[in-house]
Formats: sequence, C-alpha cells, structure tokens
Amino acid sequence: MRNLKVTAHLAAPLAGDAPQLDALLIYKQSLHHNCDRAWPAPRQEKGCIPLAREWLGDWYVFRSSSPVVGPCSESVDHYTRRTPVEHASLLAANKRTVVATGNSWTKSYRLPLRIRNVDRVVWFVVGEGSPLRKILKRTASIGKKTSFGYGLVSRWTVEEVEHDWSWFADAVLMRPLPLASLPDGIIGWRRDFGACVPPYWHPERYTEIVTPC
Amino acid sequence: MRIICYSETVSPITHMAGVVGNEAIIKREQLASGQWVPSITGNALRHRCVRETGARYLVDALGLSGELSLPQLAFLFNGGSLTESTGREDTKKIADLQRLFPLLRLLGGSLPDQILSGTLIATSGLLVCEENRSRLSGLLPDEWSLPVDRLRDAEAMVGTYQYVRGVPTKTCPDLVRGEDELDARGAGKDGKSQQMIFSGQCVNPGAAFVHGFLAPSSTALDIGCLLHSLALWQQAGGTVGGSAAKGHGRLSTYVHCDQPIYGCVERYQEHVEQCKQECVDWLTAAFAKKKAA
Repeated sequence: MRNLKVTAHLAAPLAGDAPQLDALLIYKQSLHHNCDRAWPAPRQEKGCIPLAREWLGDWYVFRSSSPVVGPCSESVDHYTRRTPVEHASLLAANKRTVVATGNSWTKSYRLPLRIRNVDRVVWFVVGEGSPLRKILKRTASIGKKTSFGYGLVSRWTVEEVEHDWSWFADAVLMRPLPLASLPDGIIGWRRDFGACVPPYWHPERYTEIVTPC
Repeated sequence: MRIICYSETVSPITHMAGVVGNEAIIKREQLASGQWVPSITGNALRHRCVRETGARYLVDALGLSGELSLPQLAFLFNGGSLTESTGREDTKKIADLQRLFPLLRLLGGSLPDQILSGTLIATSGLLVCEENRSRLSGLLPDEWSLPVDRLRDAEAMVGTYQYVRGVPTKTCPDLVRGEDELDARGAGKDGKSQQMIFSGQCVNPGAAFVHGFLAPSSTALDIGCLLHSLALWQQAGGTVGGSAAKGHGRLSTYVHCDQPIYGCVERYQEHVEQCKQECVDWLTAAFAKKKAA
C-alpha cells in the first residue's frame, strides 16, 4: 500500500457534492448488490476495494480523505418535469382524466441544483494504484444528476505522493472520523452526527463523529 | 459507446432560463473563468433527442396509441414516478425490461413500485465559441479538430427576438359580441390595450453546439435505439428549447460514433417488431393494479 493522490479531471461542472472515494469504489464494486435503509447495514469487513483501512474503536475506517475541491464559482441550475399532457391523445379513452399539476405524483416541479465550476477533485488515500485505476476507469462521472452530463470525468490520475494525508494533513482533519478516536492537537474539525464508514447514508452507521470544516 | 453530435443552429435557439423584467433570458452556464456562456442542458437534449422520439416510436410500433394509462404515458415520456408506499426490487421484471426495451435500459425510469436506473449520460450542449475551446477539445473525437484561428466569442452569437400578440377583436371585429366590443386601438372596457409585445434573447442561426451521449456497457441494440431516436428527432425538425411552434430551436445534427454502427438501427427495429407482444404484456403487467390481499 502506498500514499496516493487520486484526481478526477472534470469536463463538466459538478452538481451537488463530490463523493467520498471509498463510498464510490464500494458502489462500483457492488453495483448489483442492493442495500436499503430498511435492511441491516452490511458488515463493515465486507467491501473489497484497494484501500487500506484501520479499526478506530467500533469502526473500520478507510485510509481515504474527503474530496478536496478548490475555490470555484458557484451557481444554481434547475431541472424540471411535468406530465406529458401534449401526448394526451395516446391515452385510452377511459383514462383521459383531469391531471393535478400541483400535487400527487403528477405534480410538476422545477427543482434547484447547486452547481460548482471545478476543474478537478482530489482525494488523498493509502492504497494500491493499479487496481484503483481499473475501478476508476469505469467511473464516467461523479456527483448528482450525472445523466444530464454534470460531473463528467475526462480522465482519472493516480500519483504517488510523499505524505500520507488520508486522515490528517499534518494536524488538519481530512475526513470524518469517530469523535472518540480523535487524537489531541488536531484542528479544522467540528462535531457532527453521521457516518464515517460506507454506506454513509445508512442509519446504522450513524454515530458521534468529527468532520472537516 | 460514445456518440458526439455537432449541431448547427438553423433557427434561433430559445432554450430559456427565466425572465428578467419583460425579457426572456437564455440558459447560460458559468465557466471556471467566471464567464457565462449560452448552453443547452443535457436534461433537455436527453429528453428531446432520445426519450420523446424513442417513446413515440415505441407507442406507434407497439400499437399502443389510444391505449395507454396515465402512469404508462408518464413512464414512457418523462420517466414516471414511484407511487406505491412499498418499494420492491423485482429482478425478473428489471431483467425483462432490459431485454425488451433498449430505450428504457438507456434512460431508466420509475415504475409504481421500483426505480430502474439508466446508463445513458447526455452531456450538455457546448456552444462552439472561444470561451469553450478547452472544454470542446476534451469532448471532440480525434477525427474532429477545432480551427487554429480564434473562434467567435459567445456574446457575438447571442441575439434577440420580438413578437407581438395581436388583438383578434381588432382584426375580426365582426365576430365580437356587442358587450365585448373594443375600441379602435383594441382596448377593452378598462381602456388598456389587449395587444402584447414579448421579446427575449436567443442564440442566432449559424452558431453551433457540440453535445454527446455516453453509454457504458452498451449493446448493438442500445446503439441502434439511440441512433434511431436521433434520426427520428431530426426528421421531426430537430428542435430543442421553446417556441418550436414559431420555428425556433431547430438544429441540424451530424453524428460521430466511436463504435461500428452498421445495421444497428435495423436490428433495433427488428427487435421491436419481434418482441411486440412481449413488450405490450410487460407494460400491462408492470402497471396492473395490485390485488387486495
């Protein structure tokens, strides 16, 4: 395992937030394994990705920093949907009912989307470069609304670096970690209640954590 | 699969973002340099070029015109909605959908009880302008290259339009009832003229956009479906954005594909013809009302 810097060079603006690299890799490796909030979270030891990991108390945390996004201009985009009433003639005669556009499942919407004009996103990890490149090669885009072209990755680069900045860059926190395991003298963090291991959205993963700020 | 499209504008493009005062403003994208450049969203291109035309073809080919329910119509034409409280992951249903409907394998959608992910990524339409030079060079295929000379600036390709909505009671006064009569200026009882002037920005004819479609792990049928939908979209005028009824939004598109495409469209059409009954049965079953327990 080596200290690596992973860079996603973007060809399109990023919508929403960049993902945690460990979460992205696990998702790519287990695309056909379903997980749901209603089901128990998978065992932490599961998930075979080429990143180092260590036990911190009850949590088996990957050696991977949060995404680092440089200063960039921000804007708000919108995406919309409405019921395709212009095709009403395709409906069966007995199905031509009045459609509510203000409520129910036929409600029209115009939702805002946070857009950041970044040209690259960087993660610092401890891992194996070659298998990492293989998985990342299959990742065409990151962030939200990728089907609209946001977060399109033009190329991935994985470079060896001198320092291990996966958890801490000198004394600065680089990723969410369990609060109880935070060493003394670390700066750049705030308390939060969330997950520090994937799946980050699963309620069973929630605990007292510290996140970079 | 990677399909890159070069679309020349043959009429004003009015893909709008909103209104400022009385003027409609075109959609712009902010670049890392801070400049705002006109663009067409990937969402709009995905819908107009692929979903709408592809779904319309399926409805006609499967003989479903005048037979659809509202959830089926929404599923085919805008992706549908999750409406049932109990979510399911019926793998057989998903596998059958992916086998029967290359269009929906590309675009995904939502059945009443489960969400089906798609594989197609539609990039936004990049205006061919100097500001976009670096982004364009990343998107264009190797066979296409940008001119060495400076491209036109984005703002040089932005124009305006103005229309007037006339007052029918002025042009056809003999058709007006006595109590609705207007004065000679077309003004109503409140004295205000009913005539309306509306205007907005547009991307001028003669400009060009580059956009693309990426579909990882696609099959020949997927490529055939995508190309067929693009061809139908072009045949229908190739419009994006608003005011298409006034002749706006027409694009003339050239397509480049990085994979062999010979016979793909024909194979897709044959597939739809062969699986016609299965497709209809699948759609009927997927939207059938659940029996009460």
